[in-house]
Amino acid sequence: MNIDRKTMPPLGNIPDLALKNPENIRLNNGLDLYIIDGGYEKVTRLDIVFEAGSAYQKKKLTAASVTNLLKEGTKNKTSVEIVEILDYHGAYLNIGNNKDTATLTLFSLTKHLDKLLPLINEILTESVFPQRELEIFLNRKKQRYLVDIQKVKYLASLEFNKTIFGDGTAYGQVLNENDFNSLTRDDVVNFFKKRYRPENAYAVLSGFVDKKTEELINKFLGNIKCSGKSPESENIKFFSEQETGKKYIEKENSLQSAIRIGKQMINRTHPDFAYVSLLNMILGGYFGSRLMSNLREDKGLTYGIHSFVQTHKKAAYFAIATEVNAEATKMAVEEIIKEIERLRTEPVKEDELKLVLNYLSGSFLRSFDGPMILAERFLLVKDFGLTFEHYKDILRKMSLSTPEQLLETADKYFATDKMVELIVGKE
Amino acid sequence: MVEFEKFILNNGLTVIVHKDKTTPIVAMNIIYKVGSRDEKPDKTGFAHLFEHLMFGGSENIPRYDEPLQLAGGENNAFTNNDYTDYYLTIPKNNLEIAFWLESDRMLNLAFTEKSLEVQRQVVIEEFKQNYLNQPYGDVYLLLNPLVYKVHPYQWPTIGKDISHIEKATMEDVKAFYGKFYNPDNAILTVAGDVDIKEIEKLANKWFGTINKQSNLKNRKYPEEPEQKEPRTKSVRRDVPQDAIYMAWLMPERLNKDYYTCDLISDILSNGDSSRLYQTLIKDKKLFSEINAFITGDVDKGRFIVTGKLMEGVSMDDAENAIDIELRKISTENVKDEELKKVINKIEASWIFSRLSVLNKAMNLGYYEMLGNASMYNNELDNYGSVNKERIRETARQLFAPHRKNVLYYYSKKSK
Repeated sequence: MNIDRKTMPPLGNIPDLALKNPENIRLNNGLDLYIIDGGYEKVTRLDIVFEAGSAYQKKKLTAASVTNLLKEGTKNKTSVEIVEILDYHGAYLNIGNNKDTATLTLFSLTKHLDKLLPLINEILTESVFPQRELEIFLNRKKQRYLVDIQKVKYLASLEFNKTIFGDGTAYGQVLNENDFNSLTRDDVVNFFKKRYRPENAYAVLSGFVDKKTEELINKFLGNIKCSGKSPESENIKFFSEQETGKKYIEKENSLQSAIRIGKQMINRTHPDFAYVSLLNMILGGYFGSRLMSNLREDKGLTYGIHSFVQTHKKAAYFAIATEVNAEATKMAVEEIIKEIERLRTEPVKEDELKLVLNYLSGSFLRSFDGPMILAERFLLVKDFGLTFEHYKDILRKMSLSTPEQLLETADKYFATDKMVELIVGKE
Repeated sequence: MVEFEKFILNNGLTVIVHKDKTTPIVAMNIIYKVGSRDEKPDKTGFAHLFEHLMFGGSENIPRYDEPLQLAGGENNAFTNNDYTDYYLTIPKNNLEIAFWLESDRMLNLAFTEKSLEVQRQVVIEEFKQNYLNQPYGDVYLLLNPLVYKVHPYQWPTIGKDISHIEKATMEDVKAFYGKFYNPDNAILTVAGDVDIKEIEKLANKWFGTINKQSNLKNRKYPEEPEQKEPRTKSVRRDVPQDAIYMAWLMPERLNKDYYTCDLISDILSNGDSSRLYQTLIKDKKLFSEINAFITGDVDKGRFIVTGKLMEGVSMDDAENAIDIELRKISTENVKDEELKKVINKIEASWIFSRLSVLNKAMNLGYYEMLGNASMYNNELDNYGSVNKERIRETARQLFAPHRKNVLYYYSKKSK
């Protein structure tokens, strides 16, 4: 058989996203429940999200201590009894927090939900936060912290966060060694009481969902009571004006330097967000990006480099992150700056734009494939009052954007003199 | 059940097809049966370096990534001791583009000097990032040679030493490709909303026309002899806390006690209710982290226990505490409930593994590499047939004192 291997087989259209928004139900206690059902495997995911992220803590480590201690004992169950129930049913319960929210995520075989939901209820209503468990948690966390600060990458992410959002602000909080000694059990209990409340929360049920599942949810989440009145709105300074310019932290004997370059950025609800996201993709958002092609595939300076737009509820930032051969640090920074400048001065070629847009369409298709993944997408935008329409909107705006428009947007939002340039390692 | 069809092309390429109508995405997975165990002791890290070169363009397609991205696809690859796996996902109406791309790099690579130079540098940076410029990064470079004296698992996939990567020549690289990157040494798996007849047609069109062979039947690897004496090694590094790494040689992948060992590792450390976590972290507070796991290799692999010591805990006390737990599982039967628990966990993770087409494609390919893709569907039975007496007896043999290897990893801060 003679086949033409030089020519690419014809490119098919990438199908549009077929997304229906989640069904919204309000439970008896006022908790909003969103349902994203589908899938043929009988597995179910439940997310419960509280406005209880680190931004709301008065003392560092409070939010993280609460999420960690929720599994560590209730009025009637010890820590080991709780994990025995979870492990016995092959369930995964992850409780964690970011700056804005704390999220409890349960992955379970649907058939075991009747055993697990009562436990979730108990955790949320009768946790006792034992002193002993708090100590174990803080000690272990401190040990991990001491290992982590040996890594240029970790040091860079701490310093960068502080520089972007401002020292002493709610988003700019950064751990240091003393923080592990100052937290008390009272801090933890008070934070929990204040911020883990149904009116401060919502839940997302995804995967295999039938009538029985809904009934169970109603029974075990709908009866969680609001105790007392909701937290009065506090006067929190989330971030301050960002520093610009260069920062350097030397780390002796380092074989690699960690580089972070970036600035505060517009957020999801801004009309230009789609264009900023597209520019970020072109620059460093996928394997074939300009930064990867230049620093890795052309010059071999790094194992990987990428850029991203991180959105929090009250503020967002753009960053480029990489670890490079220490001897080539200076050259790497120059090349990065050159690539950002190119975004602002040269119109994107049609070919490149088409490639990125196609890649994005495929990547959207992938990241909305299956109910549990949809739940993740939903969680990302819910805080902004957005739904799946937001993603379709972004994709539509991106696909209609022109090189001129992108040039203008780049000039507006990617000015290098507004960025901070951080190096940890060797200059 | 994950149903599939299997056929073999005239040139020896094995093709597996799994139909899943629920997704607009198709996954394609290609396993080449070559890993770091196929390397020579003075040329280690080759299988992995080669994985990087596979993205440097092929005979008819100058850049692999561009057309794939244009088609809305995404890909990656990994190398381990036993095989090299290339996988991609793509919207289903662009599936033929994936056939075109993957078959061309099986047919012939471009082999440019530039690609070799750049990927050599990239791999050296990967080596630094993950093994050298990282606290505890060199552990497996130190531990593996304790366990293996003759088998090639003694070096990690990244290579024994950076110098091997630095010295790789174009000739070496071409010879490696010629020997291993052939249809009869590969397994192609396609999973998604596809038609079996259509895949047969596409496979024959794009892959069936590749006429070259590896002829590597009955490859033999040096068999690691039974260890007679315990082995230890101590190092001191600039890390914040002491750590201990223990390893034992364990049965090969197709031995039924492979499953027994996996269950032993789960009883010891899978989940917060596991023995090591509850006893050594929560009760005795000797460790900040502790783990037991098996490496999962095709030939005799390793059963590994690792722990990071809390400040002020002596290495002796730490090691004794682990030994006590190992002795316990070697002398007393586990409780029925405890065995049921780890089996339940395996059942759940097996079901979760079927949620994505990519996962299914990768798993089917992996089991076919082991001998037969249908093993994917028998895994739960294999675990389920292990009883508590077998666990005790296997643990007793596995953890016999003369079979033990220990790496003591001291912090410069400690005495």
